[in-house]
Amino acid sequence: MQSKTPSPGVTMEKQIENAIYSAIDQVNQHLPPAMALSKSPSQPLMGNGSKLDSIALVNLIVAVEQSLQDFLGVPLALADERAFSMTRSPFRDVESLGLYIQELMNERTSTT
Amino acid sequence: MSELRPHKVMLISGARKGIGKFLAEHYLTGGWHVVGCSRGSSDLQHDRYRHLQLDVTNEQEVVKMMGDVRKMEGRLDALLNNAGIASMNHFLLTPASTAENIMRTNYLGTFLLSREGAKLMRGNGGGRIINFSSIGVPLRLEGEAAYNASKAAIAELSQILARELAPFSITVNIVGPTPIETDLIKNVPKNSLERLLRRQAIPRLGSFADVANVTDFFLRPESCFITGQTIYLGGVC
Repeated sequence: MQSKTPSPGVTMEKQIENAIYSAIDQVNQHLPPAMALSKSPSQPLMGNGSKLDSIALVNLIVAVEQSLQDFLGVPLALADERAFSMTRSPFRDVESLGLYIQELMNERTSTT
Repeated sequence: MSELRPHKVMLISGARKGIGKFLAEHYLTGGWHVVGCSRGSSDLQHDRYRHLQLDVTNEQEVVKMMGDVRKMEGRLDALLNNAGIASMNHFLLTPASTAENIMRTNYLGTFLLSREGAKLMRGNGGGRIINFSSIGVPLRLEGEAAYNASKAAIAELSQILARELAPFSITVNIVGPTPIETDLIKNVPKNSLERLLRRQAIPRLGSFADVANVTDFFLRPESCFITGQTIYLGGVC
């Protein structure tokens, strides 16, 4: 495991996106090419249009958590109670996942 | 001694004393890199041993600790969920706070460490989780309602984890020790202890080595097809 040092001037939003895309790269290594995820905000992760089965989704979420720690140095558990109680799951696509992580990060900053 | 692969890394909860400390020393001797954790500090000194202090019932602390293990060691091959507390009392005289503390440390601690540990193991292609139950569960010992309920919960948790984590090549098994000379049983009256031992097929106190023998077995590479199993010591079933 290698930590990446965030480049100065890179926004948190961009770092989160980089972390998610890095996790997608990792997960794609274990998916058949036809199932590979694209590095795009509109890439579905859950529900209609998603190519991931439940185990692949678990793998992706855990890879994102580890990637966030590498990129931002922050240990986060993404699957908290709120994530599962939201009417619209934050895991539905890459964009919603990024926004959810940003929300968690903002809360973390305001409480520390 | 079990060997999974070179530079294998093990995390042992409750490693400050008793069985946890013995197992830490046992696996250090076997060549493992061992990370121990407990609420207090440890006097165990070894170049392959690191000790981290935390409350295993605190989700954020567990997540952070496992992140530290990942940074320090880069991997996790085995997790021994040994941390536990006990309290013997008649059910009618057991405070809610006691029941809650026991369930939090024994069950929730095992739950959190297993969840975060499995995430790390997933990254290195698999691993072994060994949880700690007690012969009190099959014997349904009077006076141990809260403790045994927490241990029964660990068994149920382990058997479901065995199924959910099998796709990640992670096995989850359970060792159920008999009473052993540790702080956990120091307040058990002598006659109660003797009565308990008489219910075992082999009526003696267990030893740390008896426990290590079972954990060695679950850790063996050849045990990769064994998951969701409980081995009780002393011939209790």
